[in-house]
Amino acid sequence: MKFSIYRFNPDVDDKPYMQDYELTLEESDQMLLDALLRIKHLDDTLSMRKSCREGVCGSDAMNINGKNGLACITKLSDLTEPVMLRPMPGLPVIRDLVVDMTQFFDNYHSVMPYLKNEGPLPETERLQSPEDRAKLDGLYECILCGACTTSCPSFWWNPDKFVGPAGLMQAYRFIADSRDEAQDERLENLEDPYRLYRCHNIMNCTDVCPKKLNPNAAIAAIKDLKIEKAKHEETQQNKKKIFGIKVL
Amino acid sequence: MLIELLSARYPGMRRWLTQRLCAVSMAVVFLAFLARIWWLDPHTFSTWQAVFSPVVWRLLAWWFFICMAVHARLGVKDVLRDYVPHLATRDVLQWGVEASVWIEVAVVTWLFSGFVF
Repeated sequence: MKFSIYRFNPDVDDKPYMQDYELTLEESDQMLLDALLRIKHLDDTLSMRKSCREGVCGSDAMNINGKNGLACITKLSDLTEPVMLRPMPGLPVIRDLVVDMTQFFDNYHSVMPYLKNEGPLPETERLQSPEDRAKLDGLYECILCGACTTSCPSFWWNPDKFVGPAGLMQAYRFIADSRDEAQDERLENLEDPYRLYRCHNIMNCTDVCPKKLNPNAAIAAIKDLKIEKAKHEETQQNKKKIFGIKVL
Repeated sequence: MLIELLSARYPGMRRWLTQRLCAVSMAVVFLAFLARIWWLDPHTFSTWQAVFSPVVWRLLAWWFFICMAVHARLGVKDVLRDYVPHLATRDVLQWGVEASVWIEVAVVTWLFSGFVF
């Protein structure tokens, strides 16, 4: 099987190049990661990330034949030759297929991806009804591989301003959590022309998600909630007016 | 209420909401226009003229083009922000967009105000 892999070592190379490899696969080589490990065995200068090898850690996210995905759950039989492997777009390349994900995680942390509840600590745990718990399905499963965010042109052009699909889906994961008390703060945190509203719903994120999640739906849900919140705020403001004059 | 949601108090939402409202307006007017075309089945200049002769249809057509101008203005400005990193060039292009929008509004208003039809 033929592979063409993006190579760049900043210590040695002036610019990136594509290196061709030809590999005789064995019966046990089922996934792209199997082939990559075999290539790495032949050429140990090739750099890549991998860990769990079963689509849980998200380490081996890369651009596979032009579409982001995880090498460990991409079947070799589904790929056309030569298999073009590049690092995820929109992030600085450290070396070969390894990218610097600092910006991605900065954006993720900016949405406060943790429960905010100032209430007294319960004896055991904060309980949820099965219905409230069900609202988190399709959100909490995100493995933060970055495939969605680095497929998004809005992120490519505004990486420091637009949160990106993965971060926004995690924002909604906590907005939708019945145990969280900071919904207003979280919605306010996304009110500027870039952080949330730079999403133009082209749905690249949903198309590439290796866990089959739908960040686009989460983003749409946040936008709906923001309208509801704004309507509520304006209603409250209008209650304080008599004939359009502010009295309180 | 709607006007308040489009105020500067919601800097992110108002642009997005304006563009969506314009899109919905255009879709509704376009469907109404298709229904009218299907109903009148115009084939000659005079029958086409009759399509737009009632004031309400002129207003709807005018509104359609105004919405299109606003929708395009917001969209193109986003595209320029993304794809034109050189600030001076971007400013010139954005002024071009603003001028085009105002020219379109003026022409459409003139066309549908009755001077032509």
